[in-house]
Amino acid sequence: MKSSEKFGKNIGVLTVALLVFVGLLTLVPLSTSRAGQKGNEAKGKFYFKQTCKSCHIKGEKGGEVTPLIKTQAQWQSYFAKGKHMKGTEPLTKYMTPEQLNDALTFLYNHAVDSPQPETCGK
Amino acid sequence: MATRTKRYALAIDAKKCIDCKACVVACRAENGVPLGKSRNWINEELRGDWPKLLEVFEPEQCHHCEDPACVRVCPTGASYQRPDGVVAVNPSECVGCRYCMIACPYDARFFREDLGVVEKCDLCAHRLDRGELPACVETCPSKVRIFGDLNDPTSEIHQILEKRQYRVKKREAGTGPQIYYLL
Amino acid sequence: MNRRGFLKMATEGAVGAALLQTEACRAPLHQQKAAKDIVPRLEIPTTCDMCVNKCSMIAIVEKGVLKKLNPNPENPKSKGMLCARGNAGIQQLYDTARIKHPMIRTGERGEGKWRVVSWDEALDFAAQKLSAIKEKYGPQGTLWSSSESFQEVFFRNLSQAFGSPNSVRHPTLCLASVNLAYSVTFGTVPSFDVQNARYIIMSGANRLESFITPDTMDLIDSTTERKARLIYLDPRFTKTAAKADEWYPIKPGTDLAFILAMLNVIISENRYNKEFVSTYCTGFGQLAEHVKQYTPDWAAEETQIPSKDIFRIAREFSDAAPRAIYYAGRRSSWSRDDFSMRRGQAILNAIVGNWDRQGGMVPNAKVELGELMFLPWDDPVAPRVDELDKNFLLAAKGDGVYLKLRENVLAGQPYPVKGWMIYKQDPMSAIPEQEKTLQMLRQMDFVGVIDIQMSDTAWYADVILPESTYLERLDPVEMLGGIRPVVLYRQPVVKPLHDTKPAFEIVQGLAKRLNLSQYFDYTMEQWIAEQVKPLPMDLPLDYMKKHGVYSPPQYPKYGSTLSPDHRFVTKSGKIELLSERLREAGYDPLPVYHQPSQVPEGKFRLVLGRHAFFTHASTSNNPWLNSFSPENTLWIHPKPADSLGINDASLVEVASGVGSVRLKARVTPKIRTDCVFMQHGYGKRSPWLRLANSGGSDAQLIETAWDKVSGGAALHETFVKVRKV
Repeated sequence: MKSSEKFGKNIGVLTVALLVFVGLLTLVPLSTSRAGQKGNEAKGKFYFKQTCKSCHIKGEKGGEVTPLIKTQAQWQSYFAKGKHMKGTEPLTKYMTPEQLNDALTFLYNHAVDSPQPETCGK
Repeated sequence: MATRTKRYALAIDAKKCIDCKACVVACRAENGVPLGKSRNWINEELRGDWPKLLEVFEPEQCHHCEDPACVRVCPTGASYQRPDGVVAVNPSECVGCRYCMIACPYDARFFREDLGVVEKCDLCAHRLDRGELPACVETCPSKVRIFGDLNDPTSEIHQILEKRQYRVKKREAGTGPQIYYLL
Repeated sequence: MNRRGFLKMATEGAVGAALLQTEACRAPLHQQKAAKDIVPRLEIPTTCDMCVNKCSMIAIVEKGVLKKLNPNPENPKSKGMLCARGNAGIQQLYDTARIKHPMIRTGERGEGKWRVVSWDEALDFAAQKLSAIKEKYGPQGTLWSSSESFQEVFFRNLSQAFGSPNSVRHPTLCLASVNLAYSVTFGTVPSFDVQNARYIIMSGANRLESFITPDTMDLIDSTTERKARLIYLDPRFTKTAAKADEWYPIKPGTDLAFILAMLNVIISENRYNKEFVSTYCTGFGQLAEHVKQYTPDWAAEETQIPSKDIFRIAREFSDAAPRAIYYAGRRSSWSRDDFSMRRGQAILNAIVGNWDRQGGMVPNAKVELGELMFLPWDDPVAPRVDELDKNFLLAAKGDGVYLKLRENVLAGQPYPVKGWMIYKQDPMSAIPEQEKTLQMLRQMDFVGVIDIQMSDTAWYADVILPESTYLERLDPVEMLGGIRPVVLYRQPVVKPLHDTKPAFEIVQGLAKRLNLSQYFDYTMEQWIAEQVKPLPMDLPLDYMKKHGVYSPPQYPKYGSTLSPDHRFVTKSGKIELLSERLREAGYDPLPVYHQPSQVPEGKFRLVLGRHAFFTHASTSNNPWLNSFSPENTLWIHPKPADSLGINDASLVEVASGVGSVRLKARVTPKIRTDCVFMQHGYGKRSPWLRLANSGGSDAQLIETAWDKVSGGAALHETFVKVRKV
């Protein structure tokens, strides 16, 4: 199947990226994580709320997940790994890569160390 | 004069007044007071010189006196005092002679050209009768005004006048004003 | 004829013209009681919209007529207060000068010739114009500006769905520098627990006069009942000065010197909260080194506040901590270096450890609301026209930087903007250098305005889409975060008086014609139903309709962020006394003092402000409010007035580098000799605003300048010449 081929290819890229990331942290830009910042944040919020939030709320099995539970680097890393449920399944089980990219953008832009200048009203 | 069971009065803590005019607008809305007239007002006084300046704001309205001169001079009985101390005008009896306006030491009354009658603060008697506060008291952001029954020892006004010093305006006029300005 | 009738005839003089034309006279309520029927009274809880404080109130309606607005004591923030403006909301509803139908202009822009049209025609017209601009210039060729409103979300969503990156809001004309400074330092903008503070310092922030808010109530309460001490810095003797324990007529633009000197004393005398600083802050060492140069003696020269007082205030402030606050205030758009001053404030608040403590600064608690979810639109392709990514790296993107934006639009750079949709905003009055705003309006192919009155901006519109007032609308539920967060309900108290619509329906009408309906394909009721889902009561909607406000009973709560593993939403996770993010963006990581420009010989610094009766420039035509101050005057001290031959109430001409206005002088000792002052909101051009066209417009005088970091307008950097006319 086309999506699984693509998936297998991605795994290879992501493993390399992850190793580089672990080694050099902030110094080396990651092609995949950079893509994460260019996704559609508003759509990402929608996907996150629609999909992830169906389980990841207080009291449910996933535990509450909000953008604030990770730093920007941690979100990048998590999505770069692309694994869910302690590495037992891929994130792409729940969303397409494009949707995942949008979700990452949303989470990245609202991470606990992100610049989020507040405003009045909305 | 009959002894009263209830005696409504106002205590004003003028140091809290910031001249925001909420009370004036609330009164206008509640009582349909036309622009150009007012049942209540804020007195302002600036003292001193740059940079040692002092400014005080002091709300005022009808003092609902114990011995109201306006009621005494009214030829038709339109100006009257309720048992609870509220001084009011019955517009259907008022002929607009304005003797009361001359008699009042506080200039608290005004003439309604459109209606041909005299008008003034009546402590929102219609609200009192529903168990509500006068509009000016209710709306004040600084809580400058304390309203209640002087004869009720549990009322806030009774208690505050026992605790704090106060003055009244134009005591020498002898009408027994019932607005107590806390010192 | 009886005696009474005779007396009545004899004493009736000429019926004076005591009534103003703008307001119908109504008989007092107690006279109405004498009517034959008992008139049923409806008490409808709702939320005020005369300013952004969202106080709760109860509308008294009889036979479909709004009689009175009473405060709603159930709101723990507004606690049973309703200020002059709130009470005057009745006049906004019944204002005879309201826009009553959609209109399209027939003559030239600004000529004031209008044709009343149907909603269909008005919306068709607006949509066609917007589409044409999109066709020729791309969606980025349209600008969408709005101010805070419960319905603003729909307008903003439309602009984004349309594909335009160009939304601009009010913060850079207001408190952008405060928002950004506190966000950079703490990761959030906290609230000030004024009610429980024992020592309060305010720079400007004329809270007892210029903006009556629930903080006003709390400030009076704490200073008169709870022995809080108020230190107030302002070039004017305002009503706040009149109530303050100490007032210093500080030299304008030098507040940062005062703050840095306070930091100098508090740090050198070891009066800061060591434990708090070491646990929760970064950058203290560099801060301590940095402020060594800023001594009280030095600051006394800058600020004209005596050195001994600076020492004493610094000591008293730190002694009173954590119940000591340097209050941030609201409109912080004063100087080109404003951001630095607000950073100084934030840092000072931080090192005395008043964070998340009673009487200190408390991060806003929130109530979670639900959200009606739908898949949103694609991102805009073009970058913003104000080029925030180049010029204002840290500024809040959705707000834009108004003055930079205008500059670019006038220059047609980086691309042309030819359409302007404006909602609940009056740029002609709100933005400095009005001549340029006028130029910008004239440059547009299309100007569409959604408003309730014929503001100076609406006067130049091509189409006016009149909104229903807040008393005639059902709005989304609003959550107001704070020390006591509240959820607020707004419901219509009367049926719309005129042919107006809520902004939501206007947006839906435009969306339909722009093929964007899929993003607005729900009713207001459905939107609200989603919002109230997470609320804890059994029937949340019924509760909100009945009470108008909900506040979770567990607040106020202090100290929930005071655990060592709490992460602040900053880069380091700590409170950033020194900000690396600022350094990376090319700004001072610690606030550096720059002297304000000196007042040129023969001129004055023009200082702006407000009074308790108006909200900015939007309510000056309300007859009940206007009556307190029908015109503005130029405040000038007797000494310079004397040398210029100016008497009280004489007409003067005030001229800056960009305009001149005439208004009456008010000779008063309540202002520094090097400053003049005028109130905002007067000198309107629109003939429909006849009450407000008296006095002078500050917008015509203030020169264009902005704070480098936040982009906030610098409204006190204009020097004027004054002469008697």
